[in-house]
Formats: sequence, structure tokens, C-alpha cells
Amino acid sequence: MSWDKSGDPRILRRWFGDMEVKKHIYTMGIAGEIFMKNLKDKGVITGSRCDECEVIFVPPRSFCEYCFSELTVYEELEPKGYIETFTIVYEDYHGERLEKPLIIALIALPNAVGGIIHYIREVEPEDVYIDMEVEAVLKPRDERAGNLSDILYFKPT
Amino acid sequence: MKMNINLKNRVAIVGAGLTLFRRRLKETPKELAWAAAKMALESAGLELSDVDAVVIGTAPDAFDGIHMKGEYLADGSGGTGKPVMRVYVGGGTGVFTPIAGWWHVASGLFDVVLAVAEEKMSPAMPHPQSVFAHIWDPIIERPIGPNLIWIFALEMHRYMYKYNIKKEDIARVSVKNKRNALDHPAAQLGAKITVEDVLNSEMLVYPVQRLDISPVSDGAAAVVMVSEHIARRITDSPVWVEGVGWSLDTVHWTGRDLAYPKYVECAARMAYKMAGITNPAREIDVAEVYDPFDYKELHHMEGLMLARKGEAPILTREGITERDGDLPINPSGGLLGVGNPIAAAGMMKVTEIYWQLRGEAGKRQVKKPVYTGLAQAWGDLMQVGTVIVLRAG
Repeated sequence: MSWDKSGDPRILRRWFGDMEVKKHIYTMGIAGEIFMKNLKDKGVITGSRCDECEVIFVPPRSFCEYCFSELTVYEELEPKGYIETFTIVYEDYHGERLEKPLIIALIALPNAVGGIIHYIREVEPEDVYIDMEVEAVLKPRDERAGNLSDILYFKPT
Repeated sequence: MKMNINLKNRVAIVGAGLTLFRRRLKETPKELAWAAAKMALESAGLELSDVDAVVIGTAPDAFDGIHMKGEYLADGSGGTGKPVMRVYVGGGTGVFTPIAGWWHVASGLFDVVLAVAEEKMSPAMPHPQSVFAHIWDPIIERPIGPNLIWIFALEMHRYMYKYNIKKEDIARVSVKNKRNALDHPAAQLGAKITVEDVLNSEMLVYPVQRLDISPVSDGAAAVVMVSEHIARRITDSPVWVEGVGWSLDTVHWTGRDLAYPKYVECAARMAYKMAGITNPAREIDVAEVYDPFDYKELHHMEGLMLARKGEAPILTREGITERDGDLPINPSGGLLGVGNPIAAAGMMKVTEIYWQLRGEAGKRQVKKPVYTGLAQAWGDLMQVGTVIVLRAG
């Protein structure tokens, strides 16, 4: 056993490799399909209701994690809510300074469990605050594809 | 019960649940887990609020494509706000999950434990096989480009050579299991095929042919495990966990006896000792042994000491392992017939023994009366054995 430290990997015999599957194909499942379809077709955010526990889950779920009921009642909600918490991103993955800081928020919907993580725009970083009311800015209907980027960002109401 | 160790609680299985096994199910992994867990709880007559702790079993994250898959599955497994742990021993996970559930209860820490196993293999592209490309030594093995079928082919060939086993005797396992699966409502690949069909199927990696292999599957399974005083209260027919065992052979697969699964023997000896079983071939009435490939059923029967070395093919040829035989093996249809969503497949074997011992297996019920059953799985870098022995109450 050698504990000699070698700080330069180039002096060692070495192999390159990876540990990745080429790609994965993810599907949305029972409740997720409804969420994305409603976002695309109607421009609404969908939740699912558990009458037993008196909660609405956003995004919707097909079962209640608290009581295990199957959830079959879906509610279409207006795409607006309030900022539960937010952060401001100044640097990218590589440590490069962003030209314009990015505001990321957890947007909660009234009376719902959960929320949507998304961008906040049309407001300066210094003017954002927790509990600020915001609404979604959607792509035009014919450009929506049924995924989260159908919502471009949220802006103050 | 002949427990040779000190346990706080005797443990019973009192409910079981299983989803369909299919490739590309619409449900998300957690929706699959929920379906199986919910069914298990309902069959036990319990509610989620009765559950003290949750054990989740699921094999590589790379199948579903979600890191920390145990946490991801926790809400669907009923784990919110409860002590939750994930266990993972590769393909052995499905039987290891109820083993972990057992020690949660046997230790006296919990009275009601939900054990859930899930696997969704279809998201991995181009094929879940590519996940296995990364289990080898990155320097001395991976440059040759091995995959699982290669390695099984090498092992199968060695087994055939050492005991002079003919391919048609191995093919009988596939014929039997796919036929058994025709009676399983969750099965993916039940079929009426002949030995000739297997022998004429596409040669993939000699001597492994298309019909020697289990399919790619999505699915979930669950059992409810409780302490004795709870079991006595809620059911007249608990299924007791009499013995558990698990063992790891050397991780250097090139240094193992490829013709004999020592890892299974070690795990089985641990479980048999706990259950007071001295002659397994006589005392085990029905067994679900791990059969991702047809020869593995034979291999594992020998490791479990249900057949002498090299003689499992003879028992199979003589019909002893059929549902109406003296030692029914894989009456469910096994992985070859029901399907192979890794962790869920092993747990499916436990649910089958549970239903067999309660006489609830319907058209799959074996002909002879059964009191003691066994489920076994195998995994990691093909060297872990997991065994559970169950007995009707």
C-alpha cells in the first residue's frame, strides 16, 4: 500500500468512463397527464382534492399521501398565487456572472398543498417580496406543448 | 416455532398487494407503489394510520431514472411522517425488503410495517440492459463490453458442462413457468409454448436464447408485516415468517464456483436454521425460486438444497416441480412468466407463497396441501442470496 500523494493524475495510468444510461423517457402518470393536458388546452393549473383530509394538492396527485385515498376529483385553478419563498440567482453553473439576475420562486396557490417552482419576471430583484401576488404568463394556446415551459414565467398581478 | 435467536416479536404477514406487471405502464413509479401498498393494506383490513414504519425496496436508481429513489417512492409507499428506510441488494432486493420488514417488527421497535417494492424499468433507453453495463470493473472488464446476458451465458454454460445438462432440460423450466403464468392475473408473459419453441427461439448469446429470459417490466408489490398480538387480533390465518437469511459470496465473480450458487446455500442455511428445518427437500412444500433465466431456477433449487447438485433438471423432467407435483416450484409463473420488475419481482414471489399458504392462490393453488413455503431472490453483482421461509398459521 502506498500513501504517496500524487496530485497530478496525468502521471498515472488512467481510463476514462461514464456511468450514464443514454437517456430516460419519463411519463407523467395518471394525475400528471391531467395537469399537463389542462395547462395546454385550458391554460389552467390543476389540483386534486382529498375530501378525507380536506386538502388540494398542486400539482395534482392520484393518491393522498396522508390517508392513502385514491384521488379522482380534479379542480381547475386560475394560474395565480403568491410567493411562498424566493431566491435570486447571480451566477450560472460555471460560476459566470449572469447578465441579469434570475428570480426563482415557489409559488403557492390559495388553500393548496404544494406549489409551482418557476421564474419571476417583470419585476426588479429588489422589489420582490414574500407573499407577493403573482400570475402566470402563458405561451399562446397554439404554441403550448403540454409541459412546464407552457408557463413562461410568473409576474406581479 | 424453533427460533434459535432471541426475538422480541414473532412476525406475521397479514396482507399482500401486487400491480399488473407490464412494460411501459402509464402510472409513475410512486403511483405503482401506492397501488400495491393500498391493496396490501386493504387485504389486511388496516388503514395507513395503523402503519408504524415503512420499508421500501427498489433496485438501481438508473432504471426509473431518479436518484434517491427510496425517498421518491416514500409517499406512494405510505411513508409520509413515518420512519422509512430503503433497502437495496440488487436483484435480491425483493426478498430482502420483507426481511428488513421482519427485523423492524421482530426487534420490537414496530408492530405494523408496510414493506413495498417497486421497479419501473422501461424509462431507461435504449434498454435497461445499459444500466448493467456499469456494474463491472471499469478497467479490466468493461473494455470487453460485457452485459448481463453475457455473464449469465458464461455461468449457464459452465453449469451445463459440469453436470452434463442438456438445453432441452433447461427449456422445460421456461415452458412450465410461462404456462403457470397463464393463471396469474398480473402476468406479462404467460404463454403456452413447447420445448421446441424455446430451442428454436433466437440465439442471443450462446447458450442463452430469447425464450430463456424474463422480460423488461414495470410493477410493484407490497406486504403488511405485523407482530403476533396484532396478527391474532386481525386474522385467523396469519402467515408466519419462520426464517430469514441473506448472504454475499465473493464480489470477484471470476473466483466463484459458477456451476453452484454458494451464496444461496449460505442464505438458505441461515433461514433453515432459524426455522428449524433440517431436511429442506422434505420440509419445504412449495417454493418460489428466483428465475430471471430458466437455468437459474435449477441452479437455485440446488443452492436451496431442494435438489442435489446437478439433479434439479431431473426433478423438472419428471414433473415434480409442476403445480400438481411433489415439490411445486414457481407456481406463480415466476419471473419468466409473470415478469421481472427487479425488486417487485422478488416481492411477487413472497406474495405468491403468502397466497399459497392461505389457500388463496385460486387457479394457481398447488394440488398438495402446503404448510411451509419459501421465496428466494438473488442479485448484486450476481452474488447475493436472500431467502425467506413462511409457514401457515
